[in-house]
This record gives sequence, C-alpha cells and structure tokens, in this order.
Amino acid sequence: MGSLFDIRLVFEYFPLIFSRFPITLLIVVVAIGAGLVLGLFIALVRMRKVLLLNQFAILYVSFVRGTPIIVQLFIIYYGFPLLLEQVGIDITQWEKIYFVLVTYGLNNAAFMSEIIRSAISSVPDGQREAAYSVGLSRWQALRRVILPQAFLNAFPVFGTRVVNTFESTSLAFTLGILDMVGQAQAIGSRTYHELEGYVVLAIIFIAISMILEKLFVHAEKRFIQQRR
Amino acid sequence: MVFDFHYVITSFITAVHYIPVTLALSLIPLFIGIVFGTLIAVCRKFRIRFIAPLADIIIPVVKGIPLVLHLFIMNFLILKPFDLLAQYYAWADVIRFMDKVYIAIIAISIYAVIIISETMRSALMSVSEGQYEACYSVGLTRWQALRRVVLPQVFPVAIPVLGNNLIGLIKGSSVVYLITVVDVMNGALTTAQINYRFLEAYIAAALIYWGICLLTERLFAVWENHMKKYQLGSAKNNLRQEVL
Amino acid sequence: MIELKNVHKAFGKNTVLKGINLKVNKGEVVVILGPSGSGKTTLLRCINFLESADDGELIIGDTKVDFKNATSKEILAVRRRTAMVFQNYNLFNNMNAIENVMEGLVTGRKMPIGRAREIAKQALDKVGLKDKYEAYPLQLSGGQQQRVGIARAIALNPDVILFDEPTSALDPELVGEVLSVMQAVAKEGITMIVVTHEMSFAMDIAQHIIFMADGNIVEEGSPKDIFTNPKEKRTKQFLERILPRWNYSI
Ligand SMILES: Nc1ncnc2c1ncn2[C@@H]1O[C@H](COP(=O)(O)OP(=O)(O)OP(=O)(O)O)[C@@H](O)[C@H]1O
Ligand SMILES: [Mg+2]
Repeated sequence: MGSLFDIRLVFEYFPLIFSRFPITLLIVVVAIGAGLVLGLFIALVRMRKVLLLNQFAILYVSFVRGTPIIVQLFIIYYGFPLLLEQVGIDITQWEKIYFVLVTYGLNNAAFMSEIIRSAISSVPDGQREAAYSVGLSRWQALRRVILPQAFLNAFPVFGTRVVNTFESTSLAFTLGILDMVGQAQAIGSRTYHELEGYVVLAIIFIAISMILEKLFVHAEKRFIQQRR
Repeated sequence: MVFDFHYVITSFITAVHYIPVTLALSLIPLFIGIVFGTLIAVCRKFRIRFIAPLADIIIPVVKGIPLVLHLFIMNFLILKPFDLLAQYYAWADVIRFMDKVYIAIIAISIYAVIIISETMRSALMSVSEGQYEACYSVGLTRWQALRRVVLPQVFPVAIPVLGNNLIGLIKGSSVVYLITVVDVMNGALTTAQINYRFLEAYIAAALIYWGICLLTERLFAVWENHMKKYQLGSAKNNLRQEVL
Repeated sequence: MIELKNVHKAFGKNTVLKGINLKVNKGEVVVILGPSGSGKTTLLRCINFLESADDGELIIGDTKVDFKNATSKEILAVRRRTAMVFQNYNLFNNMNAIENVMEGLVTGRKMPIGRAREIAKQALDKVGLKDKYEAYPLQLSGGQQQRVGIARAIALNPDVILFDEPTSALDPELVGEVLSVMQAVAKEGITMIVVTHEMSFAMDIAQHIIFMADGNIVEEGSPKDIFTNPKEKRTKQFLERILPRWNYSI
C-alpha cells in the first residue's frame, strides 16, 4: 500500500466518481419536487386545521425533524414493503434507489411544509382580504395572490433547503446504492486508497454547494428583490 | 416476516444504554463549536489580522463538506499513519485500536465549529453598530464592549439557532456507526444482528432520537424564554411587586 | 480646552472634511449648524475616534494626538475624556438605566461599584429620571431614553460632551424635555459641542456658533452675529431656507 496519498489517483478517480453525479442529481430533483408538492399539501392541512389529518401532519413533521435520515432510509427500506403488502402491492423487487427516492421525498416534504407554512403566514392578511374583495375564491386567492408572494418571501430559505438536501444525499449510499459516495467507497475498499476518493468527493461537494449557493443568491438579486 | 412490536422493545432497551454516547457525540462538539465558533465569528467581525481573511476563505469552503466525509477523512487520517507505523513499532498497535469514539468526536467537532461559527456570525450581525459606538464613547475597549454589551445581546438571539444546530448534531452523530462506534443507532442494531429484526431495531432507534430531539427543543425553548425574561426582567418583577 | 487643527477626512473619493480648525474653551457651549451632508456628524465622530480622520491634530487638555498615527492607547485615552450623546440614543439594550450609566465608570474606568452607583444615581436624578433607575431601554419613551443617554455622558465627567442631533429622532412633544435637560447641563459649565437643527435652542444655549458647509467652516461667531448679521452668502442662504421667519421677526 505504500504512500498515504497519491495526487495522481485524485485525477484518476475523479471521472469515475463524478460519473455517478446524475444519481445524486436525481435524488435532489425528486426530493425537492416531491417535497414541494407534498409539503404544500401538508402546509394547507395544517393551516386549515383539517380534522385528524392535521394531528397526523404535526406528528409526521415532528418525527421527520427529530430522527436521522439514515434511520428513515432503513425504516422505509424495511417497512414500506410490509406496509404495501397489506394493500396487496408487492415491491420487494424494487431497486434500492426507489427506496432512497421515497425517503428523500418524504423527508423533504416535512421540511418544505414548515417553510411553506411560515412563508404563507408572512403574507399580510390584507392581501387575502383584498383578493376576496374582488371576488376571488379561496383557492384562486391562494394561487393568484398568496402563493406568489409567499414564494418570494421563502426564496432564500428554499435555497438553503436545496443545498442541505444536496448535502444530505451523502448518506444515501448507506442503503447500498452506487452514487458518488458509494463509488468512492467501492474504489477505496478495492485499492486501499480511500483518501483520494474522499478528496474527490470533498471537492465535488464543495464545488456544487458553492455553485448552488451562488445561483440562489444571484437569482434572488435578479428576480426576487426587484419584485418586492 | 411480520412486524412485531415486542422486538422494538428489546432493541429499545439495549439502545437506551448508549444514549450517553450519542449525547457525548453531540454535546462535546456543541461546546467546542460554541467556544471556537464564537471566537472565529468575533475575529471575522473585528477583522483581526490573518485570522479574519483566512476564515473568510476556509469557512465557506469547509462548510460544503458533508459530516460523513469529515468522519471518513478523519478516520483515515488518524488511523492510517498508525497502520504504517505498526509495521515497525508494536506500540503503534495500541493507538491503532484507540477507541474510535475519539475520532468521531474530533470529526463532529470540526463540523460543529464551522456550522456554529456561521450561527454566531449572523447573530453578531443582529447587534447594531450603534451599540459598539456607544461602548467606545464611554471609554470601553473592543473586548470590553464585546463582553459587556454585545455578547449578552447576541446569545438570546443565537439560542434558538444553537438549539437547531444541536438537533442537527444529535441526528448527524448517527453516522458514526459507519466507523463502528456504538451509539444509539448501532446499539439498537446489535440486537438485530442476532434476531434479524432490522425494521424493529431502526424503529427503536428512531423513537430514542425523536425523544432526545423533542426534549432538546423544549429545553432550548425554556432557555430562550428565560433569557428574554432576564433581559426585561425588572419590569416583570416590579409588576409582581405591585400586584402582591 | 479642546482644539482641532487641520482635520481632513475622506470616504473613498468623497472628501467630507477639508481642513477643519476649531477651538473650544473650557465650559463653552458650541453649536454647529450646516446643511445636510456638510460633515457635522463626521466631525463629531472624528473627535471621539468613532471615525478615524485622515489627517490633523486633536488637543484635549494636556493630551495631543496626531490623527494620522494615533495608537489604540491614545484613542482610548481620548475616548475616556470625551462622551457622546447619539441621535438614536444607543442605550445598551441589555442593561437597565442605572447600569447603562454605570458601565463606563465601572468597566471603562475601574471605579468601585458602590461609588459608580452613587454617581449614576446623581446623574439620573439630574435628568429627571429618579424613578426609572431599573427601567430597561425598551420600557422608556424616546425622550426618557435620550435623557438616560445624557446621564450616561455627564456621569463620566468628561472634558467635553458631543451631541449629534440629540432631539431629531424624537416626537415633537418630547423634544422639550430633552432640550431643557441640556440647558441645565450647559448651566453647570460642562463643555459641549452640539449639532442641532433647533434654531431657537441654539440661539439660547450657544456661546459660539459654527456654520459648516461642504466640509469647511464657512463662518463662526456669537449667536447674535450669525443669526442677525451673517457675513457669508452660504450662511445667509442656509438661514433663509431653514428660518424664513427669522429674517423678518428680528
Ligand atoms: N460611513 C460612511 N461611509 C461613506 N460615506 C459617508 C459615511 N458617513 C458619512 N458619509 C458621507 O459624508 C458626508 C457627510 O456626512 P455627515 O453625516 O457628516 O453629514 P451631516 O452634516 O451630519 O448631515 P446631516 O445633517 O444630514 O446629519 C455625506 O456625503 C455622507 O454621504
Ligand atoms: Mg448628521
């Protein structure tokens, strides 16, 4: 095994590891997409205090926020098939990546719902009243007046959420999928040169999260601030 | 295999014994993070020579590294040199098998320092420049201003965020099972290694983490209220005196 | 006695003070007037080293400081001989009124707490806040806060107190209480440099008036000279704009 660190291996491993980036991207995109839709649903349930669903939503959000995502990953992995079996759906043949996607989607929904909730409540009551006064329905008021403003308010927090989601994908490999981290691990255990793989990962994670941050700051300056 | 709550309890009872490990893995880094994170934030605020520009470069970069990578890299950096040494010296073996908890604490602490320095930086920004100027105008030095006026106003603002940081560390510390440290997560799994009841084990772990996090949230909320009360303390006391 | 010689200050390319010379005798009340942006605030802040001037000299009592290479020790020494009353009060939010007043004495000057408390009480009594020792800034009105600010300054027994528009953040009905406290302070023979837009107050309180424009002292003299018989065109314009009635009523 010899030397601890060989810089040439960093260049050698980089393409191997980065080629798995699409998997990471897939997780992030699905997590954010599902998170937004489900999160909006949860937020509405909680704001309208829908009976039973509201209580369930409170419990759900608290659980997701209070437990590690690794634990959630494995609970979904072992528990989801059992649950669906009850209704006669067999998913035991699913590939692991699907469980990862489900977990990250559900996880994000909880966090998104909190963001959406505080964003909506940050829109002054007068806006809703004004919307009703010109004859919009409740749903129309939400869609045409409240949500667009809430979106502007929530944008910076939303950006942070995306970056956090990206960073949390570093744990998806624990389920055994071959994303970037999984690939680095595999290379490491094959060659005993783990450090070079970790360095590649660190570079990629640093670069992407910085790019994402810059992107959101830029977008905020460009599109959001001038509209407020 | 059917879900059996009985096994959740078995796992739960085993895992509970490792709560101190999980707490050590999060509270020690929290403490180190508050000390050094505050120091870094203050150095950046006061533009201390060398340290401030250095921190300006390092913090945003290191912030991008996920906790699990910190852990892997630290694990490698501390253990591998001893692997090499162990081929020549027997004593290195002793260190080689040093408790990995220490490696985990070091890795999580580095992560905590970075995160908390950002928390403290934005909390520092909540104190207006006028407060510093008023201090200087009555003849306080920078450090006196910091200690007597600025930090007492910063901490009440920072506490809720520090609470979130701690919850993040508690949850994040579960990654240490990857380097075989036995914490709540790994403790719950020890029973599953025997009876293959993995779902039940993970649910047991989840319940414990959930409990710890809820408790942390409550404690920090109480602490925050206490701090706020202390700030406006006398008014409420006067009120009480008048009522009595 | 406090003296400024040839003070220069620029923010980037914007030269704000262009060689200010100023002499204030002990016990004198000097009022600085001038249009917005003329550099009044900057001048005060330079005296207290809240802003570091680029060039010039400050003599205060027997200490002489060169702005260009002032050491942090000298800066602290100057700050401990001066005090400032801010436009937006800047009371320490984490301390009640009496702690605010004591802070400079106890932490800055290492005075024993007991004595500091006595001095702080006297200062607060002087500004009419005998019953507000324990009140926190958020529980006080603007006028009361500014009076605590003045008490904080006089408690230090400084060589000079600098006032930067102490009443301009106040509701009109609260201005009077602060001005009358300032008048009382002036009567005690404390040296004061006051930036204000309250013209009748300036007329009343000042022994010497300085008119600034564009970073220069354009004209100075007794209140009577400046208000009734200004020599410079700039001064006339300013007074006409700010006091249209003055010209007719006097
Ligand atoms: N910190 C700063 N950075 C850059 N420019 C500044 C700063 N402070 C003041 N200036 C500039 O210096 C000039 C003088 O400002 P200053 O506040 O001293 O004026 P002023 O006479 O007090 O005006 P006002 O009556 O409005 O308070 C202005 O052009 C202002 O824009
Ligand atoms: Mg001003």
